Amino acid sequence: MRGNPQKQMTNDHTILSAANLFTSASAIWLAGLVITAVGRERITSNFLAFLMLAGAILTLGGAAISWNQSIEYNHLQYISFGLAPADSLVDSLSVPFLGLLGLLASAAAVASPSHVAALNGQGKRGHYWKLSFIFLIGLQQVLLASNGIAFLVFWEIMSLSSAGLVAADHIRHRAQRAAFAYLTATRISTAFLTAAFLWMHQNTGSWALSAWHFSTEQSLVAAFFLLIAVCTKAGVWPMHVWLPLAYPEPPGPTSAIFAGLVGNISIYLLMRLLLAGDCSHLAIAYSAIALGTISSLWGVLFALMERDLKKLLAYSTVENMGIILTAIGTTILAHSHGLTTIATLASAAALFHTLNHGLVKALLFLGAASVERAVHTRELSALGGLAKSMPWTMLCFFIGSLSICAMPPMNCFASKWLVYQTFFQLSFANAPILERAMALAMVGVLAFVGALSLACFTKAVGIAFLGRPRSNAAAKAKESSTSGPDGLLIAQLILAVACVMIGTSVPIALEGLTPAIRHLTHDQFVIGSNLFPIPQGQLALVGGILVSSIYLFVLGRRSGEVKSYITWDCGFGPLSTRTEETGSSFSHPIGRIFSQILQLKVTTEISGKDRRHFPETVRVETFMTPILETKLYRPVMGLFDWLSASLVRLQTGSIHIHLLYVFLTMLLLVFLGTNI
Amino acid sequence: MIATNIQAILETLAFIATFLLLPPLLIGIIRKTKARFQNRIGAPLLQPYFDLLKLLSKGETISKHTSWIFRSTAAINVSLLIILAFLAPWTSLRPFNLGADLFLVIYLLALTRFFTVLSALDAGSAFGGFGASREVTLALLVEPAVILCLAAIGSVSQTSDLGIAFSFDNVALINQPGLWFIAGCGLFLASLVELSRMPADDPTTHLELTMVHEAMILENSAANLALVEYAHFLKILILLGISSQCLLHAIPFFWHTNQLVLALFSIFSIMILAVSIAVIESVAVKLRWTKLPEFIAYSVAMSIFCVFIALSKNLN
Repeated sequence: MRGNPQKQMTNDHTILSAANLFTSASAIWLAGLVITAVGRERITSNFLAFLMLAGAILTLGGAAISWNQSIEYNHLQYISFGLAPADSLVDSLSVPFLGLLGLLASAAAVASPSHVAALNGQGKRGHYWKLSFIFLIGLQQVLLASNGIAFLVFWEIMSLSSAGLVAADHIRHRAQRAAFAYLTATRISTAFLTAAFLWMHQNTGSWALSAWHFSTEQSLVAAFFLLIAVCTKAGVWPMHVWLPLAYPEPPGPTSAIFAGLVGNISIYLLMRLLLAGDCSHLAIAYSAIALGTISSLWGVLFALMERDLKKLLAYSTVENMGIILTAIGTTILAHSHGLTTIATLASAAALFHTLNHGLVKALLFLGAASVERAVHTRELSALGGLAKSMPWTMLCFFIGSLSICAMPPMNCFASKWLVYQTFFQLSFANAPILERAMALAMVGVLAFVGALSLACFTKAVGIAFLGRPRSNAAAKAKESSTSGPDGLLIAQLILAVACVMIGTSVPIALEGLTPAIRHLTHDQFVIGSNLFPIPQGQLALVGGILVSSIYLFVLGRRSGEVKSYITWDCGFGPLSTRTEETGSSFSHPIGRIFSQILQLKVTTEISGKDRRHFPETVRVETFMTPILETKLYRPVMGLFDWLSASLVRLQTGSIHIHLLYVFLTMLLLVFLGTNI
Repeated sequence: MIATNIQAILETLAFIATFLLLPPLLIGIIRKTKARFQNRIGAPLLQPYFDLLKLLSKGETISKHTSWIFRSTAAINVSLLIILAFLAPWTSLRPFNLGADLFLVIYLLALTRFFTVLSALDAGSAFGGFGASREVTLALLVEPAVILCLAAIGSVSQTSDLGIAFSFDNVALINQPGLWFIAGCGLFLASLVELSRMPADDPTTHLELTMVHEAMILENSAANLALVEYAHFLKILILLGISSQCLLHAIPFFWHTNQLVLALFSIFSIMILAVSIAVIESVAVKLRWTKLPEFIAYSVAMSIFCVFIALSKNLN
């Protein structure tokens, strides 16, 4: 089952082997780290960005070379983590993620110099470069790790360095809180992950990830621990509370890598262990589908109500992680019923949507970073009218929004279509009636989530970029400080072009993913390009021709002269910007429908002598209390506070008592050592 | 050989002419019926064509705050709806089957909404924002109903290709009048909301309390307005066409009749639905905004019935 025919130990010593490329990418990033640490301000940011870009391109190249074969190598053999050496494995599953890493790291590298130039203070710059390099090394090695121990070590490096990035702006209280919440989440995640790994090691006696099978009864607990760890790290309901705090915080360029890969890596782990490891526990499948469904609804609803552009994007990640998790759950479900077609569709959907979402979310976060740099705020109520001053940023953000709403002919439509198709086909497959009912219900839920995300992203684009500026800062916004296009914009353009290209040539993209899908389903006859029959590229072409001919023959005729005038003001004179729709008023009707979940309350106060006709003061306030944070997490936090306050009593500060503790511990250890 | 080719070409031409020319007539029928209900003679049936032509010859005024979104939305929407007219099964006689995937159809409709909503927000007028906000709210409530009705039909015929599911050769669906009827009614109710017709929206006023669609297109004028209106008419044709097709499938007679009768009846049934919209608008009142979810609940309930029928059909 597992033995891939093309597996080989690299004995070829050609310089251009994938293993060498990956190792040299890491080495270059490590060199960047060392140079930043040693060189201080003498090193220009252009040089460091070049190092980052070089590593990224080497990673991309390595992924391209090894996309169809798996390679095991041990370049890091002299690093041993006690229980297992730092062996690396490149196989068909890690290649797409490595490719995504390469692409996002290139974008971040291109965007970095202009970001760093805007930072004041040398300390911050060093901080940015060092953490970014460590983060990249951690990400790459996590994807390359072939055994549990190496995986955990690099997972920790990745988590801690990204926590450092979250805390980059640590003078602000907001960033401190975010870093703290993120650290807590990563701790919980690592704890469960370690437990799961230990359990699997105990079961199989091996640390190799590929040796772990989740088809046995004993593996159920490990699979559950794994699910909890991944859900915590990916930000699936109800463990998502850290996500809207932490995602907006990393500095501009790295926020793309952070948003595009941190969640995705944990999904990658789930695929590698549960899907490729033949998990067939129905309990896991049901939990994944249930958590995913709640997560997608919850995430998109809160995204819609959000007033902060980056938090909106962060909540949308919760939604998409939920959708991916339902697809993974369905793969396990179909696998245990022996429905191979559906298992193939579902695993392809999960994989493709994970990659697409990573790409699009990175693009959107770069756009938000660009807006934040120009207007110095992320509050939607202070934005508006940026389409005129930042046309290219707007175009990229618009493409990203189209894609994340799964609009044809974008890339996310293809992956969302695969998710739809999974559930649709499950509804008439040979499965229990309840599961078929669930499948059709899921089609409805996905449509609902889709409509909500349309509302959410029309709000993001419409309120931030269209209309009239809602603040002075928004009115004075400029695309870049220099006259030409700067790095941040070029990075967005790269990612936007990638989105459109994948969207219009889905069969090619799926053909590229075929080895990975085969790896996940163990079905050697799957052909990726057959999974998606809709000719999106041709449709886009026909649409383009139609639109341009309408432009030529209807709108662009000579007789139709166009006069530019003010927005219709009912004859009352110049409109104040306060008459415009704001982000919160746009989403208010939907908020009213879900006011129970959102805990949305509106208080209206109209006072004055004749309050009906001549009110003196009018105040309308809306409040939202996050229900999960207040009802679930606050009591839990309170419990922890109470426990630690109680434990403080042990710590009296008296040296005698502490010596007694040492003595008692020694007695206990001796007792345990002799009796067990 | 040549004869069949010529016939195919003629059929294609007839098809294109139908979907390009029919939509304004539907609006004419609705307006005429409503006028007769109000004891007026009403404008001539062909008035919508004259209106469109008049708009095309006028000079256009646009707000200086708008971006390319506003300028291109109408053209994009007309193109999308023309593509949809080729794909979606709104009439039973289509000279070709391009493979109308259920989810593609729904998402192309959503794409037109995406652009409409953005162009409404583009000028920064309070009306546009208001209408846009309501439009996304209504869409949110209606979308699950539409997709579930169609998915139930697709699930029984075991394909997501609406072209196959709606073909009269499909034996899986021949004895399902209940499913077809309920799906048709559910889709019709949903279309009333999607098309901004009476219980959800009043298409004849500009009063801000009632506006959804009218508010969103307040800034459009001249050729741009003509395109917006035309796109809306096309959407009426396609959505009413899909619900009328469902209702036609519920009648056993049409499964055993010939192509020409079918084609004529599919056009005729769209017109009947247009008349019934006019009747509903004459006898019903516009619902309060907060009551609308209850109205849409009927449509959702019907879609859930469809799901139950589909699940029981495939019991094994």
